[in-house]
Amino acid sequence: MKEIGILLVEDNDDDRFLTMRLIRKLPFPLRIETAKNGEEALKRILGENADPLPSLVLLDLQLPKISGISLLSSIREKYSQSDLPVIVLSSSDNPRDLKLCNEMGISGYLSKPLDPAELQGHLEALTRPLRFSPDSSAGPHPSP
Amino acid sequence: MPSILNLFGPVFTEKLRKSFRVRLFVGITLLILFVSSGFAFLLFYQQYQAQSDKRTTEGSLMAKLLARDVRLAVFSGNREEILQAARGTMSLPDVQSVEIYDRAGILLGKLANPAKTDVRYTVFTDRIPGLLNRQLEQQLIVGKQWDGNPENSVGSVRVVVDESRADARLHKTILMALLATTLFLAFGIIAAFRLAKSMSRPIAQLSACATALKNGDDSVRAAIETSDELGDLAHSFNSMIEAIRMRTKDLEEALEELYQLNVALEDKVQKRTAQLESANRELESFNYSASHDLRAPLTRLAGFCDALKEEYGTILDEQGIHYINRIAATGDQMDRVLSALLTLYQIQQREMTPRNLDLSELVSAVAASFRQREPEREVSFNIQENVMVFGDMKLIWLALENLLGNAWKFTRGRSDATIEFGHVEQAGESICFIRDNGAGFDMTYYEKLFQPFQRLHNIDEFPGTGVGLAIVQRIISRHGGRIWLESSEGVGTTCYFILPKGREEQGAGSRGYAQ
Repeated sequence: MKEIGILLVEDNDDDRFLTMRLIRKLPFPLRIETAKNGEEALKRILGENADPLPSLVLLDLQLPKISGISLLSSIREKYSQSDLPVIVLSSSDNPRDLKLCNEMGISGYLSKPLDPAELQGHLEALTRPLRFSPDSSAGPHPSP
Repeated sequence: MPSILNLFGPVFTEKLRKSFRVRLFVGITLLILFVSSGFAFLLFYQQYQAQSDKRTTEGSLMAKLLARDVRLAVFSGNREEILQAARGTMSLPDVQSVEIYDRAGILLGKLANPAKTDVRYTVFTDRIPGLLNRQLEQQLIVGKQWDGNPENSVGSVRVVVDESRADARLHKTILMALLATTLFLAFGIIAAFRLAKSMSRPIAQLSACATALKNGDDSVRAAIETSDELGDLAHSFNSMIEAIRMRTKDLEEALEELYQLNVALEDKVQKRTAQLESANRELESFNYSASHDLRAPLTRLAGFCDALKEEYGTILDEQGIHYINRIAATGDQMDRVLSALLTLYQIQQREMTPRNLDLSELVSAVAASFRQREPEREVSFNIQENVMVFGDMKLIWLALENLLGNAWKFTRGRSDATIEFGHVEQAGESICFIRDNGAGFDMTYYEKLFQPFQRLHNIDEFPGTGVGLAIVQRIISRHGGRIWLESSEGVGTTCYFILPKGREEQGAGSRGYAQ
């Protein structure tokens, strides 16, 4: 199975540690990169050494300086949702921000603490060999 | 009266009805016409009567005198004398012809002027007095009075009088009378016109003032300086205008004051609204950031608890595992409270999309979800069917989850746990209720029930966030309804609530609750 490149954008050390710990336990060949803030993430995705692109971005919205929202909009200026899927991670976010994210195009929304099974579902959808509509099975899940 | 007025034609009738001046003028004119024509008629009648009396008297006298004059001539048969007497009568004015007959009616003599056409003639006849008998003929000569017996007359005279001159005089009299009447009428009309004008002028002026006043000009004054009733009226009118002006001024001032007050109030409201909106925005952002910032560490706490258990569970003893579980449980409790707080806030913010809901089906669905969560509990649900309300699906669901959750929670430990749902009609309102035979509470602390974080039970006994009823109350009040509870410790609690009534729908309109 082809290696899946995941970029985790998370400013909190503990959260980054715990999320990576969960992802690593998933039964996929993964290559995990991390970015501590928006600048690092932008540099990785839109900078000179962008190739190869990660297959998936896990994005925390609450970031210092460049917010998750503006980071997402910068990504979407260059890459469409099918080129670079983004999943938003959040503990409790403003519904308005989530609505904005949905409009810009995200593959899903995961609330913290992460449910490993949910994340696994997203990854399975991503690695499915024939993807007529890559994101239909992993539509946005607004908070209840 | 209208039929008489209609004779004048519609325009004049209208004028007569509308204009005091016209009515006054017409009235006076009619009066003058009536009086003057009455006088003229009386005058004429009297003149005519006097003249006709005079003519009759004169004519009769003329005939009588002629009869006397010709008496001897007729008696003696002297034709010359008869004609002479006749000539004497003919010489009198206006006599057209004179005829003298004997006793047998044979014409003895006649004198006549040529008869004119178009002239009225009056005939006067008289008998020529005769004698009682031939023996008394002597008496005739000495002129003894005739006894008037026609048997004794010796003949008759017939005098025809031409009335044309008399008629002409009469015509002249009539003409004079008519002329006088006409003149009198003309002067009368002029006088009536002036009188009507002078009488109606102040009234017209008052009317004009009133019209001006009606159109908002309160500076007008009725300029009538007479000391009669109209003057009094004008004076009263002027004082009335003054009073109106004063009152209007007061009113305008009050209105202006009110307007200023309104402007100030609006300004204040606007400022307050802006302040409120800004406070609301701040509160909203605070709410999210607070719940994020408070929740994130809890999530980490839980994550590290999991990691600790998974990676080091084997080297910890039972007590250690217990501590870890206690830490995780505490974190969970705090997370639930934060969620409830966020929910409480979101209820206020949510845009409602109300529709008809089958509350009975929703209650059944919520009950089923509780049963699924705790299949070991035996609770009997008694749900009345077809209770329809009009509300926001998500919010009503949330309210039912909390209310049934309480009933479910507080009946814990009862072997005959029963939860009942139904509705009653009372004073035109449809009151829904959820009744349980659970622990109940002391009504002394009723006031505390709906305040967030107020608990009437020990948290170990009946766990919860303490926000549930506050959430329910907000949902009900957002629907414009009411909620109240009745409880008795150890007997149970009944929660009553009123929601907008819904219509019973055919089909699947109300079945979209399964989430």
